[in-house]
Order: sequence, then C-alpha cells, then structure tokens
Amino acid sequence: MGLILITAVLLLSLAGCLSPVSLDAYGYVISIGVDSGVEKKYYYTFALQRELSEQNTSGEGGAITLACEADSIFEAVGEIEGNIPYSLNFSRTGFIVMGREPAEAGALRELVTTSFDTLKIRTSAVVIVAENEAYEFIGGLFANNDANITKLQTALMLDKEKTGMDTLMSVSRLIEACSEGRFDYSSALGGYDGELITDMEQKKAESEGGDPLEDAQKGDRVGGLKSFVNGAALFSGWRMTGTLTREETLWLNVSLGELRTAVVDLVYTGGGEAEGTAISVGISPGGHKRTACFTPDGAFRVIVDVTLKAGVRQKDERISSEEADAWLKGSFRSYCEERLKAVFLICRGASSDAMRFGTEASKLMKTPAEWEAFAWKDRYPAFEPEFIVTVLNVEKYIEEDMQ
Amino acid sequence: MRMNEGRIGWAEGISVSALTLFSCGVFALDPSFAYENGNLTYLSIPLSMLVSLLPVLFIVGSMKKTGSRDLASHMRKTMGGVLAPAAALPLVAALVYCAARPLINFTEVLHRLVYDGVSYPAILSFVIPVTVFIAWKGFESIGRLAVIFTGFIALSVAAAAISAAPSFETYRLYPLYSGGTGSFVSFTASETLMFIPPLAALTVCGSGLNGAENAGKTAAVSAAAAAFAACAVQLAIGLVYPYRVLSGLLMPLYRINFLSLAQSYALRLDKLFIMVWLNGAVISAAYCIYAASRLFAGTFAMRDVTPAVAALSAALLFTVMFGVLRDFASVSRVDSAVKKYGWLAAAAPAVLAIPRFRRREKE
Amino acid sequence: MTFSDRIKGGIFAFDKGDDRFELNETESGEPPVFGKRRPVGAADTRADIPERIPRSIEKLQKELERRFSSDVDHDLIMRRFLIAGRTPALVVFMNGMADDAKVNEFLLRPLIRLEGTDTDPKALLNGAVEIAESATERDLSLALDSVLGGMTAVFIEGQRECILSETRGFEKRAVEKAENEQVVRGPKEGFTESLRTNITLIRRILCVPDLVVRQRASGGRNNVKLAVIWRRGVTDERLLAEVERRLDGVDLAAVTSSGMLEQMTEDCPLSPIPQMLSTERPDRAALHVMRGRVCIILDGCPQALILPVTFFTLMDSPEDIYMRRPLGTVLRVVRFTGAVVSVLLPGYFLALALYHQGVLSTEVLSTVIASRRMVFEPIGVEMLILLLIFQMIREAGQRVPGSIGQAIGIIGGLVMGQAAVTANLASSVVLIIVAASGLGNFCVPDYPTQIAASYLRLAIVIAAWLGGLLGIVAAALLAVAHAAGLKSFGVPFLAPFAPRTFRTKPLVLRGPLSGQAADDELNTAYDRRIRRREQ
Repeated sequence: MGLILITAVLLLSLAGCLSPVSLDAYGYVISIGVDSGVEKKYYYTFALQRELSEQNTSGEGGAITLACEADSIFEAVGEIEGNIPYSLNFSRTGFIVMGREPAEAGALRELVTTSFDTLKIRTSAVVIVAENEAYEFIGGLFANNDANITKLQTALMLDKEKTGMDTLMSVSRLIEACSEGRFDYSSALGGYDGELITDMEQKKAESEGGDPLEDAQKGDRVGGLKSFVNGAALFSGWRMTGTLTREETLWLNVSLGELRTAVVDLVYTGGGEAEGTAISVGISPGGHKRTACFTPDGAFRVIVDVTLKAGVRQKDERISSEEADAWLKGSFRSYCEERLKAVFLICRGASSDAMRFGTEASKLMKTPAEWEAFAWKDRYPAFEPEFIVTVLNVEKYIEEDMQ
Repeated sequence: MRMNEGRIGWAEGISVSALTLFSCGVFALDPSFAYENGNLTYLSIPLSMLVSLLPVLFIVGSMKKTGSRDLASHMRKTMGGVLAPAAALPLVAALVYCAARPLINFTEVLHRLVYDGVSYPAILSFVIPVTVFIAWKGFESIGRLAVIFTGFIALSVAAAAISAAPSFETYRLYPLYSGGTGSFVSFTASETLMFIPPLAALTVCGSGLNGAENAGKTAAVSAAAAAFAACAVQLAIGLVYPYRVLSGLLMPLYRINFLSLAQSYALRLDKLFIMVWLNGAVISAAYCIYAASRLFAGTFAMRDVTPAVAALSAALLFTVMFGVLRDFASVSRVDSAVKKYGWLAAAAPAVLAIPRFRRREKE
Repeated sequence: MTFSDRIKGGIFAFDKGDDRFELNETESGEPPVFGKRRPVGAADTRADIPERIPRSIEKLQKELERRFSSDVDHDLIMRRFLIAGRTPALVVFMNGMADDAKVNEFLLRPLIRLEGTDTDPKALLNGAVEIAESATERDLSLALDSVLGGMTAVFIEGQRECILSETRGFEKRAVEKAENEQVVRGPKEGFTESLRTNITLIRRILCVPDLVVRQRASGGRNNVKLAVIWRRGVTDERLLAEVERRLDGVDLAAVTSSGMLEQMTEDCPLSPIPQMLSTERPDRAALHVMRGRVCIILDGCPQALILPVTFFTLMDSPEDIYMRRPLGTVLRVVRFTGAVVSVLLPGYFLALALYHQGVLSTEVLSTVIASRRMVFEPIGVEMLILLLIFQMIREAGQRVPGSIGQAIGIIGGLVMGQAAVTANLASSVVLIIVAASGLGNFCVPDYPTQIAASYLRLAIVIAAWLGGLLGIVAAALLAVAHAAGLKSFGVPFLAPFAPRTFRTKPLVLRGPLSGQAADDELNTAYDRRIRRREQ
C-alpha cells in the first residue's frame, strides 16, 4: 500500500510538467500557404477553422485567414500568435499550399524537414502548388459560406480517390521521393479564378436587389469555388520543375495505373458521316503491367502495358457499334499511346520521374550499393519507355461505371 | 520467502514472453542500425528470435538434468553459492537493458511526436512508477496483465497495419538482398542479444511455470508466435517505407498511420495506438525487471525478491534516463557495442553449467 | 493417440502441478523484508474452556443476576419452579426474544406436571420437553449465549447440564421484495434480518441433501451467529478451510452487518474493488452455492455474502439467465459497454481535449469550443465539478426514500444540467459526456462495484488531466495490475480471463444454460473429478 501511495504522490508531483492546454485555447490551422515575400523570404498564410457558433452569424465562410511575412514558419507562427488571443495548432493541417515561386525555389524542403515534427504536422498532409499565389488559392477555396472547411478539403481528396484524375500525394510520399530518389513527386496544381461569381456572392447580390450575373462574361464559369485543381505540378527532388494540364495528368495517372474512371473528349476519326465530330470516350482501368529489364548492352528498358476499358459515352446514330469498336481499338488506342508518350516527354523535360520508372529500376538491383551505383537520376534524361495500350470496348460497362 | 512468483499457466507464460520478444523486436530497434544496409528485418528479426531459442533450450536441458525448477537454483546447484551470483550478474544486467530499450524508444517518441514541449522526466514519471509497481506485484500479475493486453496490442497493431494497406508497394522492399549475406548474418547474430534474455527469463521464473520443462515449451511457442508477428509487422513497415526513409524513423509503426490522405477519426488513432503499445513495453519491462530480481534474489539466496526489484528498478530508471537525456546517437553506440559482445553475457550461465551437465550424463 | 493429440500433448501441454490456485495467505516461510504478512486471527477460545454450571440453583440465580445486572435490567426472566412438584429448577429466557406462550405451554407445563422422579436433563428431554428443537448443554457460557439469542434454558438443582429449547419468538420483518436488486423476470423475494428465515429461503430453492449449513459465532463480541452454507462434495474443501480460518480471525466489538465481516475476511481490505458479492436475493445466493461457492449469512443482516467472486461474477445480473439467450446476450453486451464507457469516456475526452486535440475532428473541436466559449473554469475543473455533482445527486437520490429520491434524480439531472449550461457553469458537450458516463455506471449491477468503477473513473479523469493518454495508460495499468494481482479467497479476481481456465462458456456474451455445472476457477471437487476422468 505504501508503494501505491508513493507512486501516486510521485505521479502527481511530477506530472504537472506535461502542461495541458485546453482545446479552446488553440486555433486549428487547416491549411498552410507559402508565397514569396516582399521584405522577408516568405509570405505565410494560415487558414483556421472558425468555431461553429460564429459561422451562422458572420456570413463570411468557415475560415479565418491569418497571414504575415517571415523568414521561416516558426517566425510566422510567433508573429501571428503575438496578435491573436490563442495559439496555433497544426495537428489538423491537411493542406500545404505552395506558391509557384517558392515551390520552384525548393522551399518545400525547408518547410517539411524543419517544421513537421516540431509543429506536429502530420505527414498525411497534401501538397498543392498554386498556379499563382497560395494566398489567393486558400482564399478561393474557403470563400463560400461553408460551415465546415475541413469537409471541403476532404471532398477534394475523395474526388481524387473516386476518379483518380488528380494527383494528390501526401508529404510522406514527398519525403520518400526525395530521400530515396526512386521516383519524383507530383502534386496537384491549384488554379484560381478571381472573376468567378461564387454562390455566396450571388446570394448577396440577390438580397441587395441586383442581378448577380450581370457582370459575368459569356462563357465564364459561374458558381462553385474560385479555387480548383487544374492539373499537376512536377517535381525534381524538392524543386518544382514543370506542370501538367488536367488532361495530361489523366494520362500520367493512366501510366501509373492509378486512374479510376475518366472521360476523354476528342474528335472522331473513324471515317463515315460522323468524321470530325466531337466524341466523348469513357475509360477505366482494365489492367496495368510494367516489365523492366536490362538489355544486353546494359540499357534499362521498361514496357508499360496498359489495358483500358473504353466506351463511347454519347451514342451517335451515325456511328455503328462495329465502327465504334474498330475506332476504339485502332485510332483511339494509338491516341492513348501517343498521349502517354507525350506526357512522359513533358515529365522527362522537367527532369521529373513522375511516372516512377525508377521504382522498376530498383527492383532489378540486388543490394543498396548496386542501386546507388546505378545513379538513376543521371540515366533518366536518356531513358525511353515503351507504352503499349490495349483497349477493350466495353460500352455498357463504362456507362454503368460512369453512373 | 516472498518471491511473488505464484503459478501461471500456458496462456500467461506465452503471452508475457511473446509480448516481450515483440516489444524488443519491433519497438526497440535502432533504426539507423537496423535499416542501414537495406531492409531485411522481416526475415532477420524472426530468425534471431528463433536462434535465441537454442541457448535457452540448452539451459532448460541442463536444468532438467539437475532437476532444478528455476535457473537460480540450477546455478546454485551447479556452481555453488559463490560463483552462481557472479555468473548471474551479466544476465541480470542484460535483462535490465532489455527492459530499458523499448522504454527509451517510447519515451523518445512521446517526447518528439506526441507531446508538445514535455520533458523526459515528466514522461518517465508516468512510465517508471507503473513499471516498478507491476514488477513489484510479481510474476502472477505480470502474466495476467500480459494475457489481458496481448489481445489489445495485437488488435491495434493489426489495425495500424491494415489502415496503411492502401499504401503498400512491393518496390519498397527492393533491393531484396539488402546488404548481402554477411550483413544479414551479422545483423541477425547481433539482434539475438535482445531476445536471449527475455527467453532466458522464462527459465528464471521456471517455478512459476511449474518447472523447467514448461519453461522450455513456453519459450518455444512464444518465440514462434513473436517471430510470426514481428515478421508480419516488419513486412508491413517495409511495404510502406523504403529503407532510406526507415533508417531515419525512430518508430516506423507509429508513423504508419500518417500515410492515409483521409482525415477521419479512425485514421487518426496513432496516439491511441502508441499508448496501447506502450502498455506492452511497460509489461515487458516489468517482466524483465522481475526476472532479473528473481535471479538476483535466487542466486544470492535472498528470502524476499522485493529489495532486488527496488534496486533494479533504480537501475532501470538510470538506464532509461541515460538513454533519453544523452544524445541519442551515444545510445546507439552503446547499443551496437552491447549487441556485439552482450550475447556472451547472456550465454554465460549456460556455458558455466556445462560441467555439471556432463557429470550428470556420466552418472 | 492421433498425431495432433501428440503435438498438443508434446508441445502445448504443460506439466500440471496442483491445478488449484494458490491462496495468498498460505505462503509459508520467513516473513518478507517489506510489509508484513497478514495476521491470522486466533480461533474462538471461549469454547475451548467450558464454564461449568453450578449444581445449586440458588448460586446460579445469584450469578445470573450479577451478570445480567438484574437490579436495573429486568429483561432476563428467571422463574423458579419445581419439576414434578419435587426438584427445584430455574427457567431462564430473555423477555421479548423468546415466545412466552411456547415457554409456558411446551416447557413449563410439562415439567411441572411431570410424574416421575428422574430429573436427569437427558431423561427430561426425552420424556417431558415438548419442543422439538431442544438439547442439553454443559457449558454455562454457551447456554447463556443461546438464551441471549432467544432460546430458553432450564437449569435443574444438582445437575451440571441444562436443557436448551428453541423458543425464539421475537418480532421480525416479513419476507419482502428485494429492494436493491430488482428484476423484471424471476423471483422477487429478498432476505430478511432473520437468519433462520434466510436459511429457509435458500433451502427452499436448493432441495439437495449435500447442502450444508453450519451455524457458528460471527466473531463479534455481541455473540451474533452466522451461517456458512456450501455443498459437500462440490465446494473445494480447501476453500472451506480458508473461510473457516478467516472467520476464526474475526474479533470485533460487535458484528452487525455482513459488510463488517467482508472487510475482516477479504484478501485486500484497502482495495476499492469488492472481493465478495453481497446479495439480498435468495435465488442468486442459491445459484452460486449450487455452482460451488460459499454463502455466509449473518443473523440480523438481510444481505448474504457470496465468495469467492471474480470480476465477471460481479458483472452478472440475476436476470441474465432468466431472459432468453439472445436477449441476455444483448443485455450483457450493453452492460459491459456501459461499464467501459463509464470508466473511460470522461478521461479519454479530457485527454483529447487537453493534449491530443488533433485526434478530434474539426467538427467536434468547433462544437466544443463554441459550447465552452463563456464557461469560466478550465475544462478539467469543469469535468470534475460535474462528476462530483453527479455523484451528489446519486447519493441524495439514494438516501431519500422512494419517489422523492427519483424526483431528485430527475430534477438534478435535467433541471440542474440545463441551468448549468444556461448559466455558463458547464458546457453542453462535457455535460453529455458526464451523463453518458453516469448512465454507463448504473449498468454495473453490483452496487460496491459501481462505487469502485466511479472511483476508477475519477482517478482516470485526474490522470488524463495530468498526463493525457499517457496518464490514462498509467492509471489503467495500475488499476488492472492491482485487479490482476487480487484474489478472492485464493481465486484470481480476473479469472477465468486472466488467468485463463478451462471455462467453456463465453464471458461477456451469455452462454447456454446447459454445460459446465460449476465455474472452473472455483476448482470444485466436481470439476476435479471430471478432469481426472478425462485425463
């Protein structure tokens, strides 16, 4: 019993050192934005989830945005915490949004290697490179009157999971890519449409008796979020070295076997009356295989064998089933191979192994020393993969899939 | 006599031993050493567990010849009252080291990744008293605690691994041969130190297991179970982190939960999981400390095990404090030195028992 | 023997020693360095030195008058009379304890009207006394103890023996509904304060010849009796010996409740965990006796003690087996979940709120922050205050009789909770957590276990406040380690889960009614016979 008492006293006397902080003494940073600064190195933006009771009355959306210039994230946190009545907590941070300039300068390295463990940011956070400013992108993402901005972020990720069209990758993968050198990281590329009239702005204009769409130019997108995913950013190591459009990102994902379902819009070239008309083809994965080997002359060779299930989405009476089948298995297949090759060339041009051929090379190595001697990064500029696409015409299947 | 030994059955014996082996094989690894030349831990660690079984079975065989129910009485019978304590001391030290090693890693992870700005002593003020309390309660309580928590630990480890399953990629296991045969053999041999003492502890607590025969059977079954579990976990770790990344991660199993992009509650249970695993480390540490104390008390012919528990708990506290307060690299150096030569210490009682063993055979 | 049997027998089978659990207190040898071995009480020595009955009635009467302070206290009735009109005798009984009519009609009248000359007590017992439960006694102290218990003693001039007759006739409560262990389905009656009635209630359920009821002194100097009830040939003899040994060690000024006996005989009196089951239901006591446990009933106390018990016995409700199996299973799952929620939920929430906020979703964080905006006290203090208030409401509800008690619960729970939130004394989220935890606590069927669970909850809340999840781990490990080391009369408290036994029925889910007749952890003689046969 004496021992129990001693234990209890010891526990109580020493345990106060664990310094608890009540959950309401924190502001929860949902997204971190990093832009180039004017006077200092960076311009940091922190988006915080606003407490629910405030959201109902303010009408300004669910986020609080705090921003300042600083040379490091720690300085920014200190600067901001000095001006708010609570501390910043990064345990719920899900997005790291990099402005294009700092991303190209390799600022991610500094952010990830120095601050993640210290600030307790989870490496499951996703990196997005904003086409222009991270500040704008974050503002555009949270500008609608959504009570729960975390759900917005989650929705983006779920969309990726569902379609496989975007390239959202966690910081864990970034660290892996940079420390191993077997592949290069690719992140989502964030676009921003400053002219867009959001749902909230429409409601506001309506309530003031105006026409919300008066200023909208014909052909512009109206409603939704000002920020959106607009392709992929290619990295070489820690630096961003290039971009892909959304359509190119689709083919990047096809080459990786990560596509779930997508629609490709192109012109029908199968001849007949329908020649030259726009056509949409639904595609989904039917198989993905990579065969890697060394040729007798020591060159590294990879054959990417992709099987796609494809089907014409909108039925054109002028195209018979046989014609569509022949076109899909002929012209469309060639088109796919060309696109894959083209996207590879863009990646290679950016010195980015976003298609992760290095992982195939590493599988051929027996020891770490052998892998390091292989010097994949040096060989990559001369590397040429071979893409073989097989198309299975499964029209009904695709339609069901798309539904 | 108060040896706090009681009697435990097969479920408790296997649980406590397997839990200790698992803690040492998964949570006590020095990442820079284990993953230095690639990742083959999913083979080398289970193998070293099975290799560690051999000297222990040898001790059991020797004990059966002398008719001893526990290692302390066996050593006193074979070596006498003067040599036995001296021969037991290295194993006592190895057991304290095995108790401390997982706790050092856990304290480090809690300090770095779980709590914000919390000192090591503050964390240890929660961990060490509980360990001492459990060791003080004795073998029966330790065995029962192990039975209770083994299920929870297995479930949480499985849940963590399953949550990371979408991120499994086989290319991360390559290069498959890691550092080659030499590196594999030397790592396997050096890791055996971590596993000989916990297995030998079963012979120390042989009376509690109803004799040396049972201690041997428990050691065999628990080594097989722990080897299987360690293999599965190390394989899961290897499938989500390549060796270069692993060599910089203190407790990769903890970070396995950081891979999912989704933010749901179920995928953010890493802190809960590490606390469940900490239970295992604490029970293992208590077991090692109890076994060390039992051996100490037995060979020194003490009538009560608790003074030895108190003394060795102080040694445990010192070792863990040293481990966490000093530069972590220095601990790694101590680690590798002990791993190189420490197995000699663990094998000492068995080697010293050989003459008696032979004499009995002639009879 | 098949190959698999050989594998099982060779690798997995353990050499078995004595398969019974070791009793804590039977460890032998030198005492430990730290602490002391539990003192073993001396047996009741009064019975060893019998006090002789004076041959002279005159002398005896004077002695009794002195002992019972008859100058001021007139409760002891002493009436002198002549047996068969010749031999002087003294009838002694306690006013109010014995039934006057019985004494007059079946004892005094036959003795006075006796025809014959033999005044030997044994002869009188055979020829005159008309009360069935009568005996002779040579020890004056024991005879007087019996008189104090309501029996009547007849002392005869020139005899060293007296006649003791059962004439108890004091007022007692009728058998009523069990108040604290109510069930929807199943017997309703509860124990009363009368030992005899209570034994009868059990005997009525257990109509088996191997049922043994041994009445003995409770160990209190107030001479209250108790009954030890068990089944010969089923209950472990070593357990019985241990029960007797511990009861021998009871030496108190007065024993008035089974709770006092419990504290004096349990393995770890300072533990908050009950190590015996206290029940006021005869059916529950009878079922446990039937399974090989021992039941102790104290005269004057309407609760029986059942021993040994395990955690799972304490979590059993009599209703579990009265309901059909699927319903019983659901009941039990809900109960165990409630218990876990009760103990862990407030601490877990506090740990997350103070240390590991990232585990909570943004939605929960926002809701809690909004609800706590105007609450002035820290969340830990808030949690403790609400737990304390909940405990107070519960205590108040229990002390106040019947419907007023229920009203207090409703007023306390609803009105005060709502008022506290409105007045910003508490946040709604914390209030909900405390209420859920309180409800979970009520799911625990045994009252002392409920109290133990609420203490543990408090400890875990404090630990969580101090150390977050690490604090909870430390507190929970300490608690489980304590429980794992605890024994109830030699049976490990967490058996048959830890240690594992040969129990075939599920623990949390309700098993079939048929199957194992006795709980394996009790090492009943019946079980050992079966196991030996199997081996």
